[in-house]
Amino acid sequence: MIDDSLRRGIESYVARFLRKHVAEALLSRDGIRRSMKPEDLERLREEVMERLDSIERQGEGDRATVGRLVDDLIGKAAGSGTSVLAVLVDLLDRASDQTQAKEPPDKDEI
Amino acid sequence: MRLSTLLMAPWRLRDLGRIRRIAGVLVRHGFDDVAARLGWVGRLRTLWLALRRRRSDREPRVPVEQRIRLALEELGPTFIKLGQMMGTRPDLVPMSLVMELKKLHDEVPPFPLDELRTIIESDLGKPVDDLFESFKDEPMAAASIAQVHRARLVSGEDVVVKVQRPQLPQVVGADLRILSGFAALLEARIPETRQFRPCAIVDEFRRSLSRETDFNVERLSMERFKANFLDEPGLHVPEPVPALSTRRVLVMERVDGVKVTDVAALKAANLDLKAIVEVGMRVTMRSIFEFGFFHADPHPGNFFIKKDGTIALLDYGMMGTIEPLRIDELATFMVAMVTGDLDMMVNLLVDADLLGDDTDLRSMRGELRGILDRYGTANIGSIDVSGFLTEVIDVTVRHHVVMPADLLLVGKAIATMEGIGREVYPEFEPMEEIRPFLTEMYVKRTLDARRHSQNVVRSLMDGLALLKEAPLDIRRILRKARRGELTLQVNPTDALARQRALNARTNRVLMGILFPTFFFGGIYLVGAESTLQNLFGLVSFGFAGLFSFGLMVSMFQGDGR
Repeated sequence: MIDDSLRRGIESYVARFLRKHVAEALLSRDGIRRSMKPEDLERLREEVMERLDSIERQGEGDRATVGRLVDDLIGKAAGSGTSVLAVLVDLLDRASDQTQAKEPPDKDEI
Repeated sequence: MRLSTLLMAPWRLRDLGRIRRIAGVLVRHGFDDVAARLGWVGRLRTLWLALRRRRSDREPRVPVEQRIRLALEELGPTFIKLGQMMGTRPDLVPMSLVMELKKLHDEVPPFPLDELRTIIESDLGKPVDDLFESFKDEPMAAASIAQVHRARLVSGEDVVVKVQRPQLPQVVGADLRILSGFAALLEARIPETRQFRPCAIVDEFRRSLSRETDFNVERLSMERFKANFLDEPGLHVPEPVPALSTRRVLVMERVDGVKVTDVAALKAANLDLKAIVEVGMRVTMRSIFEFGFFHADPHPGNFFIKKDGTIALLDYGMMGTIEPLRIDELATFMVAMVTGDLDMMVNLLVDADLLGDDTDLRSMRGELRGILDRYGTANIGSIDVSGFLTEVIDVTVRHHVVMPADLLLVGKAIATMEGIGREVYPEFEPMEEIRPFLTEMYVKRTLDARRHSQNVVRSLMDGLALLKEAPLDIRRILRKARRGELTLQVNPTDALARQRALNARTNRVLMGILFPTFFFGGIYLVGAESTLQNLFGLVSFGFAGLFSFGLMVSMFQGDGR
């Protein structure tokens, strides 16, 4: 669905996030530690960390693609937001036109 | 049979004989009240059956689950298949019935050899003798869907040939018609059966049967299962022969081995029973949690052990599939269970929107805490995994949590493997296998960057689609609002009830004020000297009486208004 560069870039960001902020917290949870033998847990830790590290490194050069996509998306979002805003402003203008048309003229104008 | 009964269901005249027979079997197995309430037996007979039942009530009765199984066996192939399907759906029928239905025997007399040869020849386009070097006329097994023969290919390989029973779609079609009518009647005439959702069971049965009667589906399932376990040397999935397989004929490699529960033969062959059981449990767990594609009915008859100790898993007619998102939920639930993490378990139920409207979360937490603590402190080897799972599921179901059918099926698959394991190797500690497996798998899935990235991309695409369509949608809504065509639909049930309650309360207050006014006014006027005033006094008493009566009626109707 998406090109390889973008996929690798996203994977790299996700892997870094998981490695830095999730992995240790998850592996040190009481229930997890109690369910595995220490040596098996250590093997698992090494395995997942190595895998996350490898994915992070593989996509390091492609993170710029993700950056460009984010810029594009922000642009589009801003574009869509502008469209929505334009419709709202248009509606408010019309509403205020109609209200003015219905309001009785000021005495001064008579 | 009553005419109204016949008109209610989609039956044909030729079904009458079969229905009569079904009614007879129901009566014979003590379900005469069911037959009578369905209108399948006449009024006089109903009376006679009721009298007889009163007499037999004094005698000890066979459990209802057992009577259901015996009735299904007596009713023949389609009903046996129905029972087997029900036995794989603990979400549709009670667990006690699921366990009883596991005992169903699917053995029927073989069909004539010339019909078998006709099917093979018409499907494969050649005489049997040209297709196979040798073909054993004596069947290895004959069941309700098919029968199996030994054969040898021209190339010299030993195979088994599974051939569908002749006229199966027609026979099944007629029985399904009868079953649909039966289910509809049950729901209409015996409301207490609605909790077992008879119509849903028959619909599920129809789907399951259509898959099972197409051997191409079974062949593809074998190939898929085999591909999933290429890295598992302890498992052998028979190789199908696609060139000789059709919708009604399935040819596959013949596997020689010993039935897994024949412990004496396994010991005589000097096989490592512990290793066999561990492989069996690992394959079960991996098929569910790694691939989401598993044997939906892994009974011991489908496990054979080869000379080298590898497990040959047979019969891929009934397979279960689970979506990746559901695997995550199942895994999280199971990990929460085996690690005793109550918060994780309850959070999952909330996040997956499984709680019922009247679930008492505090009380459910308390009960679950009790179970988790009890199993958490037990010796790991003594933990009965299926008992543990059943207790947890029972509590959640009792608190109106809508447990997904997948979880119940998974529970049954694990329970079956646990049973086989304990039978083959009594020292087997299933939790010792299950807990580290689930934990490792859960950690790997949670830290799977590739999977999360796919979700990120999917969310991005959804977001883009939403952004693209949002201005147009908003414009459309605003245009409608401008034209005064925008309508908001609300469910008025609650609002109406509140309105009625408010009206009732207002009326009661009004009557409470008017009653003393007219009553004391009446006393004053009756005591006056003028006859006209006396007359008004009496009318006033009349009104006071009316208001007091209205007030009392309103208070008795009360119902919280």
